[in-house]
Amino acid sequence: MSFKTVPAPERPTEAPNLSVPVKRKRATHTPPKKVDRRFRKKLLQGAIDENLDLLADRPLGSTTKDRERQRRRIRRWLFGSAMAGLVLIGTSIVLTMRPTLATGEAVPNSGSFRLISSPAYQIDVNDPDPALPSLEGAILIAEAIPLTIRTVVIDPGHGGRDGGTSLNFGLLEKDLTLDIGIRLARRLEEAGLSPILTRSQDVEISLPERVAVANIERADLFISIHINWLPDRSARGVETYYLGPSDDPFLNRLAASENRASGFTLADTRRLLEVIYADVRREESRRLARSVQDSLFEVLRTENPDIVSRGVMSAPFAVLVATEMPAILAEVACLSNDREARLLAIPAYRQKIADALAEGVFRFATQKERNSLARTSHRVSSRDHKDGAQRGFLTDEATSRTQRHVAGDES
Amino acid sequence: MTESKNVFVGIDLGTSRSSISTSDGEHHMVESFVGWPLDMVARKVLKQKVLVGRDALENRTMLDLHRPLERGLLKEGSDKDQQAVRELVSYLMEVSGVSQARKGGAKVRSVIGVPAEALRVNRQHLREAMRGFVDHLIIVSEPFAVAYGLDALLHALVVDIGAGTSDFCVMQGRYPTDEDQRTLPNAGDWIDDQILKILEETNPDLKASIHTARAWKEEFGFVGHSKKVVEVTTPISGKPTEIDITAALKQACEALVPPVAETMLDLITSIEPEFQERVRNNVILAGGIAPMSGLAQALEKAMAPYGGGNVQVAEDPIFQGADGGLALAMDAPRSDWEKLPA
Ligand SMILES: Nc1ncnc2c1ncn2[C@@H]1O[C@H](COP(=O)(O)OP(=O)(O)O)[C@@H](O)[C@H]1O
Ligand SMILES: [Mg+2]
Ligand SMILES: [Zn+2]
Repeated sequence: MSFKTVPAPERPTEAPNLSVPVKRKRATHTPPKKVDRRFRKKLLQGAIDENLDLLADRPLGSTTKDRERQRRRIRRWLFGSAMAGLVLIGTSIVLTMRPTLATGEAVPNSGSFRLISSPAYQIDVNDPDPALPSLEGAILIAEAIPLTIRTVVIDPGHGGRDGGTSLNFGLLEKDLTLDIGIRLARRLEEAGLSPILTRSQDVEISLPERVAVANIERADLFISIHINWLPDRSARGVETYYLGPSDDPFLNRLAASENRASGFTLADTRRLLEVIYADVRREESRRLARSVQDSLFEVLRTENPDIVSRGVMSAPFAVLVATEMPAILAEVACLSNDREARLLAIPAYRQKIADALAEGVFRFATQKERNSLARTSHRVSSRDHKDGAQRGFLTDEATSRTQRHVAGDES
Repeated sequence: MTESKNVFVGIDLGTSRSSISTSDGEHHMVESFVGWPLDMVARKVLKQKVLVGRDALENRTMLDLHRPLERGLLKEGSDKDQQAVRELVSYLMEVSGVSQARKGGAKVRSVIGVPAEALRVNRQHLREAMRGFVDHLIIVSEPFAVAYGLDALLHALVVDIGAGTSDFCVMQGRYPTDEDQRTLPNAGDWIDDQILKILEETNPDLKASIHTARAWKEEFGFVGHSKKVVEVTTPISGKPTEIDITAALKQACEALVPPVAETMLDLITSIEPEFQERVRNNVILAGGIAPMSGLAQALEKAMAPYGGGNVQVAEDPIFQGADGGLALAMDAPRSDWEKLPA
């Protein structure tokens, strides 16, 4: 019976500087066990939690228990309430729809979805797969890319007493953002990512709570979904923000109104901003914003030819300030514009928006992956080797997850 | 605004050897001895206020010698031992350039391994001892650090046999709990003791120190068959005498096998049956004793009646703990580091 040796991770320096000579055993190299990155993360988290318990003088396991409780709650939201949420939105939209507001204008009927000119805007919540060409491409990309991005926090704007913008056709921003958020979550889940919704129901959540979800879950990305309202009623289109200062008074006003429910004081926001402006995160956020904005524009243009890309902008939104990962806020449509408002009433269009957001995430992830591959290819270290192994593992897993989903074997 | 540089550090404070690995690629080891000159004369001869490592061991007759981490734990209630640990850490920080980096404004984020059985108070003492050397600190169980460094996180059993203790940790994809870990007092020091005891039985006048026994074990120790005859020269009744220590060495080293094998099997049978075979085939032998000739085979043999198993010897017994600590330090999220001041 022969025994092998486990190679120690490579070290950059050659001979260690020792006060006594070191005898080394000759080794036959076996590659290290391929371990899912999630295991590493979970184990590391256990060690950190134990230390936090000790520092806070709490019984061991307290921090982990808190964290698990939080995770269970979020899982319940995600899986248990997704449908309930949809029904809720559907009902509320149907209930709040006011046929008299119909302008009678026809939405351009490009492609396969219905022209809406009927006064009653029925939203069919039982139509999970709208008669729109689905974005197969997006899913394929996700399968093909090794996933450097895994946990994505989706933050449907507003909720509860805070309705957000409303106006045309009785549509409320809070209902639309939730619907799009749930659709996006499903899309990301299909692609093997772990989406987490900050809310899955019509509830009021403070901005610090939204931020906390993202930070506690150590999300890789944070995407806040909003619907714009612009003073110029003819203005339409999409715009995406990342955190940054703004000298545009309108943007500052907009940020102020989105921050209203924040619980952050203006001083808090300023202080946090100063800390974060210099952060590398900002550059990543900008790239994510760019990717999502381009995708929104490209994808939605097929259904909404007059759509305008209002661009990527930076503004001091509170949710973007306090999150610890690349974070963006997407204004996915303009509720102040009649045409867009009516498009928003169509499930298929909301699905398109979700698909476009997902596509933006996939593109960002692919680009990130490519960059990191380019970086690591000319650096030799054992860590890269491990990462490579993990990438393979995750990709397999993502694929099998998708297949499971397709087979309808959902837990 | 530029962020200050972070230096990540993994430290293994061992009973017999302590080591450091840093994100700047530095690796240093020191034997865990600290000694203060006993009197004025000694201080004049040695020209130093304190000696660390091999220096301390070699000049031990002139020193108040401390091995502050008996059984891997910082000894309690002794200011001298607390001070000695600080001297060891200080030495490691100096030789690896971490102190200098810290003076230059870098934040030092370190992970330190302690034996699986270390209690809350032990950890608190360690935290206090580290103050002033590092900015942020995570304390983990030593075999866990080793497992993390080797990526043996799932269905693996790490057996870390050092000087003071043998630490066992079964990895099942979760942070090890008390049930996943065991500590035995049978390890390197215990073998040294056994060697002397056995030799003194047959040669009552034999005068050998525990340090000599340790050197014999390190150079000639073995388990199982050996064709070699081990003869050493040592004073008996004041006269240098050549003696054959082959049998004594074999007996002392082999005495380690039953308790270690028993603890291994005990841990393995406590996990879910469907995973036991995988764990048996993924035993990793770590620590300074691991490379001892014949040990891994003997442990494999002990598992044979239970379906057999595979024992791998981890490379680099000196730095595996510190390297694992460094890997943990570099993987820990920045936001968590902020919450863990030293
Ligand atoms: N080549 C060797 N063969 C057998 N034992 C050794 C060898 N090298 C070191 N040792 C023993 O290993 C022990 C130290 O192991 P180590 O893992 O460094 O311990 P610790 O972590 O407790 O300081 C000592 O008992 C030492 O004598
Ligand atoms: Mg050790
Ligand atoms: Zn809004």
